Amino acid sequence: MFKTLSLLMVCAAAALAGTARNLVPPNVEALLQRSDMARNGWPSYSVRVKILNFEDGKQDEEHLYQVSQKGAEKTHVEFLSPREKGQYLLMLGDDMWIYLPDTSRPVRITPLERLTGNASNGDVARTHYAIDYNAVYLRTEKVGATPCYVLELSAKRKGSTYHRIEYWLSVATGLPVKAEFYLTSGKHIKSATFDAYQQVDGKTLLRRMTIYDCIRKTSHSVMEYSGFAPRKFPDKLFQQGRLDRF
Amino acid sequence: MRKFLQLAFRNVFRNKRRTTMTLLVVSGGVAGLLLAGGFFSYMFWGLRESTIRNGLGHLQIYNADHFRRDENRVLENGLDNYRQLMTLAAGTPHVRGVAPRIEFYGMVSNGMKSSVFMGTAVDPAKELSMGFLPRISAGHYLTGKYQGGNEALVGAGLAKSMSVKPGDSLTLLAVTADGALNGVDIDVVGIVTTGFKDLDDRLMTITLPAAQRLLQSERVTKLVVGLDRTENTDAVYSALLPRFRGLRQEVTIKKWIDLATFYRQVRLMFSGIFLFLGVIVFFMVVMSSANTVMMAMFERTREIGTMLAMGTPRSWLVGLFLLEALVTGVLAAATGVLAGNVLGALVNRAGIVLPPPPGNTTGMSLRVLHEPGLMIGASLLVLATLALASIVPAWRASRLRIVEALAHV
Amino acid sequence: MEQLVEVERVTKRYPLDHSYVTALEDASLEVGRGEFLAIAGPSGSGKSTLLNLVGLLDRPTSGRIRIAGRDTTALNPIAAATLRRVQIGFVFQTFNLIPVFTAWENVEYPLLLQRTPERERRRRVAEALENVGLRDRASHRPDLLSGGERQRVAVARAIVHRPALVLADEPTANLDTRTATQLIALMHDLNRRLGVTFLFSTHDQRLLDHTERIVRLCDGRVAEDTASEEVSNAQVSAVSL
Repeated sequence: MFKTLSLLMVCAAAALAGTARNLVPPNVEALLQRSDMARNGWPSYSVRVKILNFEDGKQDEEHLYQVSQKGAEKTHVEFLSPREKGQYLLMLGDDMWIYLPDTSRPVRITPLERLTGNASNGDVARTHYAIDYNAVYLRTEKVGATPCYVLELSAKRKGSTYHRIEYWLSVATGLPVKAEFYLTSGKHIKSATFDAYQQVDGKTLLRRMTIYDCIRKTSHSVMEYSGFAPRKFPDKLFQQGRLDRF
Repeated sequence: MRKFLQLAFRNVFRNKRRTTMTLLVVSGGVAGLLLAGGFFSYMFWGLRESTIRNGLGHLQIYNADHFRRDENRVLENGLDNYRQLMTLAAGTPHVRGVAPRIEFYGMVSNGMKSSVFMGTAVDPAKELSMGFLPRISAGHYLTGKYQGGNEALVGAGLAKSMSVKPGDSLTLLAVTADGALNGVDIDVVGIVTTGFKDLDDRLMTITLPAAQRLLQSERVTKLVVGLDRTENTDAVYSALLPRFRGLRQEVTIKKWIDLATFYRQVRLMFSGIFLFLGVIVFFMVVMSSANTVMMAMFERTREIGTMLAMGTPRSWLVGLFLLEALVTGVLAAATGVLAGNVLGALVNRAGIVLPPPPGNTTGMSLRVLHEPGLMIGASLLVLATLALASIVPAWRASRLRIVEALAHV
Repeated sequence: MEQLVEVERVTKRYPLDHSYVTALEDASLEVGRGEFLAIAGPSGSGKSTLLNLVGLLDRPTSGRIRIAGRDTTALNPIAAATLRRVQIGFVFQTFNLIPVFTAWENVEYPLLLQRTPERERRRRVAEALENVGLRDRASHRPDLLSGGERQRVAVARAIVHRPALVLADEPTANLDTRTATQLIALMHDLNRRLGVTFLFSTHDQRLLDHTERIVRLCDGRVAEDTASEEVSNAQVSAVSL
């Protein structure tokens, strides 16, 4: 009798151990933070972002930005394209402004508003999802050949860009693979694919992502990241008053 | 024949009390219609002129594409070479002036808060020369000679939400004709109250040069043409059409009536109400006179029989009754028209002001216009109604059997 | 010479409930031009019916009526009205004057129907009123005239257009005896002077004293047809108006 019992227990334990990895939900907090690191390599850093907008497959002119991020609460985005020279965007906590040359005060904007093409202000200036969203594990599924954890992110801050995001993170690497973005009304407005990554200083960082318009299906934007480097910034750069680039 | 007219006349006054009642009811109906119609006319006139004077103008000239497709960029469907077009229009008789306008929108910021504005850019001198002066509740209108900056008028609601008063400044943000972002600082020189809350919450008016700098374009959205008198609109429209044909850019001219949707809707609604009033008066007259006429016929049965016995053609009898109805109608209409005019004059003298309608901030004065067409129309209505009301009794009277009629009490 | 009025075996029935009432039964009568005759009988004897039929105000159920040789029973209403307008004058028991017209205008009415020109009208109306002795009351409305005067206006109206025949249905029923007698005398006088044929009905025996011819009806039938032998000129001229 004992023999049968112990055999049963061994089988049970093996079975349990086999499904353990699928049954136990991952630590979503840690997952989300790790994915944020793939888009923001250091607490304080700068990166150059090039955005190409496509309409019906035809590309219009490219837009260049210099993003300076200090922690998760302060972002300064300088507009480098010739026609937009002199403009910059400032994010402080939940607030965002745009500054135009020849004007004496900024204009308040929201992260959801368009920066260029299908990229919202928040898609460039506000990419710390762990800070802005609560995460819940939904399921695991394959995207192409890659198994992914599917997380549901819901906004927890006034300044969060979207109301809800569905986020696919690679099981193996934890890197973002795909995302679907939803408005407060529930409307599915955008989706994004995280297409390529690069190695910088031993870190795996985002190199290219594409954002697709779910309403106007002929439109998409490609964002290319280069020049990732850690930087130290004085607080003065992120002041609300009128200040030219430092 | 004259004698029959006399007979009809005397028959009408046979029963003075009954006739007086009918006259009172019918003339009351006529007077009522004149008062209501006169008031509506006044309202239409007031609304028409205020719509035109508030900036709609009498005619507007657009690029034909403006109505064919939507703009992807501001001023995409605007007018090129607008100064040349202005000269073309200004030379036409009855034209007081031509004002160029740009319509655009964007964000306005006071540094802390942003809001959307609906912007208009004008040439202040031209606007003033045509009397297009909005109601300024604080500050003053655009000067056109503002030194060191861009002057702007702000709607009362927008000024309140941006917490600005004359002397303060704001920043405007807009997308240029090329699709780029651009901004200008403006100084508030005046606050505007249009009377419509929805407009006051978004109104921003700047000068043409400032808008052209902000939007990076030499075009304008439209040209507004002001005339000496609204009645000349159709004539000037016909005169302008050939002048603007065959130009490099195709141009569409719109009359104010085509653009004044609110006016048209109000007019339609009140015309419907007036029609309804007319129907009420119709029934009122029919009810009050049909019974009276039947009673009168009944009392005259023996008399009718006698006339038939003497060989009066039945058609003459019908004619006599209709004539009596017409005599009554003419008297009632005349009395009603007189009463309506007198009461109208009294109302005008009284100077009553009505409470403001929803969405407006000021009330309208109660005045009645003198409308000859209305007087004729109301008179014809009651005449026709009385004739109609007497047709059946008249026909039945003419169908009486003589022997029975003679034997009637 | 042909008779003015020929009533040939005329019957008049009125439907009543599921059967009928016979007002006239097989009545026959001939009236020559210029005659002055009375239809007498108790009420319900058919006097009014007979006069209505002769006057083309109604149509007989059977039989024929001829006026001046013309068969009137076949006439359509418009033709009948035309005949009445030109050839017949009526006097009614209840006077039946148009109250809004003056005496003059009432008398004028038949001439208006015939579209007589104005000057001719004036002459004739004046003459008719003169004939009945009411010239000075011409501008009065009926409500200002006495019963006798009203009936005289009616008589003037009945003769103004010189009809061939005057029909008077109980013309004296609403008058006192003295006025009644005067009226009959007036009609008699007009008959003799103008040559107009008079046919009147009455149930008052006293008025029949000076009438040359009396036709008595009883229960819708002609009971008696006499020609009075008295020459009544003296009586009539003694009656002053």
